[in-house]
Amino acid sequence: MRNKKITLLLSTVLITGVAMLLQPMLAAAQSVELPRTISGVPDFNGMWLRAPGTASSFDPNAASYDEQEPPYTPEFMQMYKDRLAARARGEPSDDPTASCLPAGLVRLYNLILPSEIVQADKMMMWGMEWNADNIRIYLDGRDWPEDLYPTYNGFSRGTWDGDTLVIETRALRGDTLLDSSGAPHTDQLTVSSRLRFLDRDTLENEITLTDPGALTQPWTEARKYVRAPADYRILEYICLENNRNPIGADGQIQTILEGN
Amino acid sequence: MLIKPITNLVIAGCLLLSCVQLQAHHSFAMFDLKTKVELQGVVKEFQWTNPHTWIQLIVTDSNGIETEWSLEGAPVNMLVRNGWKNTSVKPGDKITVTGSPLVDGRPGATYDLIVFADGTELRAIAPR
Repeated sequence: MRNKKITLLLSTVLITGVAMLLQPMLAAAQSVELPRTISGVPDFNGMWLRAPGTASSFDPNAASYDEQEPPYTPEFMQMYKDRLAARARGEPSDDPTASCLPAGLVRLYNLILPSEIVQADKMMMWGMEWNADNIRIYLDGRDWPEDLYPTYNGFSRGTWDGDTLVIETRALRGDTLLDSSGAPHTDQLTVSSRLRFLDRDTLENEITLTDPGALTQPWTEARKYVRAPADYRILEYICLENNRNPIGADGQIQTILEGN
Repeated sequence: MLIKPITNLVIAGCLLLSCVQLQAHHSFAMFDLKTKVELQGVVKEFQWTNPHTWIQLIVTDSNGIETEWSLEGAPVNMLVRNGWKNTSVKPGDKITVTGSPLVDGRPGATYDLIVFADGTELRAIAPR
């Protein structure tokens, strides 16, 4: 009887002891699971590539541009279909990037070129290889500026929802495209991105577009980025350096030949 | 010597970057991508630039008449990641280029495959 009690006591002490030892180890394991900044939030710093096999359409899993299903109003659906047909004929006359104008925030998220995140406590800078563009995301809790007006990348604020960074963007121009397919939108567009780690080397950016001018309901699609090899770097890409395919006076893409 | 490894790198690069939509800049519908032409000539200039690289190639026909071809290729960043250097093609190089011609018939084309006089091959990412 007494022996049983002692055995029980010893077992309890042993189990408690092991649990006490294990607890910090488990906690440590959890904290090393995701990279974290000194403030404890997820550390997205690094060079990121779009996940292999994904496309530059807003729906990154669409096998072709025709296969994504934007919840457009009938008017915008017609505009979109006309653009898809024009692109198939080689007439992307409504694409501002053909003239080297900025891609706009949503299309920057969708491009398949590399990007690099520089994250501090109060601000995150998401630098894009394409045209040396970048998205600033303020993390310091500031209010929306009162003097906002539509710009290519708008104004972005980020707040933490657990380990997810929620990025809200307002004040976007209406004359950019959502992606390389020519998907249109209006300047009523607001963007909500949920950025989080799927594992320490994979990011997910789930983007919700709200645009009462063009969409009948919000359009949400998630895309993944994978961490680039350690020696990877952003290479310079200045579109105006030598653009021999500008949009001509007839609205069509030109090819400038030299010599002769 | 940039022979086979380049080809393999390009394939790997395509898988990595999704060859479905390589271009971030514009469509290549001005080229007849279903047709291939082979041009033999001497490099006048290699424009190592964005948003696209260009080879200016002097092609001399059987009557001795010279024509300057403008050959458009992938942007610098994609070529660098596939092992190219800004000196991979140099003025004076005698090369044979395979690419897709302009639909409008002017002396312009894409450059997809370059074969140097010594038989060395250099493959570009075929623009789309």
